[in-house]
Amino acid sequence: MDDNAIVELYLSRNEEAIEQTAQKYGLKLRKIAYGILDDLETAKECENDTYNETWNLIPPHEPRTYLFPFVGRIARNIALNICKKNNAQKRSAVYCELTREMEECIPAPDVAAEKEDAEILTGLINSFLETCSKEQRLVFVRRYWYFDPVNSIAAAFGFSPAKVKTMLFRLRADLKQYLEKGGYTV
Amino acid sequence: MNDHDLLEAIGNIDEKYIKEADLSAITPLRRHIKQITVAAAAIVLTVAAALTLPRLLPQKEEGIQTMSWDSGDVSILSFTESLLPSFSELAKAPLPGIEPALWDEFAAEVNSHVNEDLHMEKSELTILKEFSVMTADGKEIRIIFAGEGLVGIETEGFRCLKISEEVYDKTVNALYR
Repeated sequence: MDDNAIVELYLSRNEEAIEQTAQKYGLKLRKIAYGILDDLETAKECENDTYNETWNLIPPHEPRTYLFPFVGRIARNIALNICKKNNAQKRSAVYCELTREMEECIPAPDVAAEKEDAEILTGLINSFLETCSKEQRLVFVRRYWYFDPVNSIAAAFGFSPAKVKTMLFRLRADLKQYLEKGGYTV
Repeated sequence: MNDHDLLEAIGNIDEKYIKEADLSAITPLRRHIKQITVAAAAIVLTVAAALTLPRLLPQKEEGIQTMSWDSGDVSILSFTESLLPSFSELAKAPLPGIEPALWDEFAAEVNSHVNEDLHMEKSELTILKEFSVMTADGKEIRIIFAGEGLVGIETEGFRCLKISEEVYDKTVNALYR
């Protein structure tokens, strides 16, 4: 069933919408959640919470042309919040690794605090991605949006893991520089 | 802003980048490139073998022995190895949920990618589901589902293949049902 038809089911409050979403995107959602939670059971719970949240958000939203990014974003946020709530011992190694990598992109905290605005930040990340080559962008998004392990990215794009790690390292440095230029200056 | 906020902000990037990085849209092209590479490698090997093998064959006193390529000799260059047997060759049904037709479709899909090993170790995969089947001749084959069409097959060695996501999803959904 195409995305538009699934969204129509949500809009008409037909519960088949959830079934169709699960059939079409269930595995991908679980994989995103598992990518950061590192626990299959919690990933399944996260997937189910995603369906509930999607049910509550459509309407008013009508993601006819971007259903997967829409539900994927919800799954991702739920998974990230679970990680945030967990105490340090319970946090998955993947989450710790990703947040460590993100630390490299964060400019000085004093100025950053003044401009702490999620929308501005997302806008800057969007325009940063626009400056990247397609190859760089794919690797960045697979790692930090889909939470793919480096080895999986390497396999999917036919690169060596070392190449992927180097690309990500450079991208993080470039992003930091870009954020600074965009107002998050040190 | 902290590291977590940045991860959250990345979550809200433009949909076009998320769609662009969707592997189901990327892999078919890569697969074609790989198939072309494998086919090209097969041609190179065949030509190389055709040129060198006759020279290596023992020579009769009256002259060089000729070699026929019409028979099974070519099988050394065959690329039709199969990893998974058909349903009828299994000792018993693999798992509840996987019907014979679905198994055969899955096995055929895996076998069609048998020469596209991604050279990943089992430890490198995100194992979402793992189970084993027993062939009629008592050989155990472990099958690992690692998301987005990635399948690991462990017999004497280990091979990781990227198969059609449609067949992959259908099989995994049957397993979870």
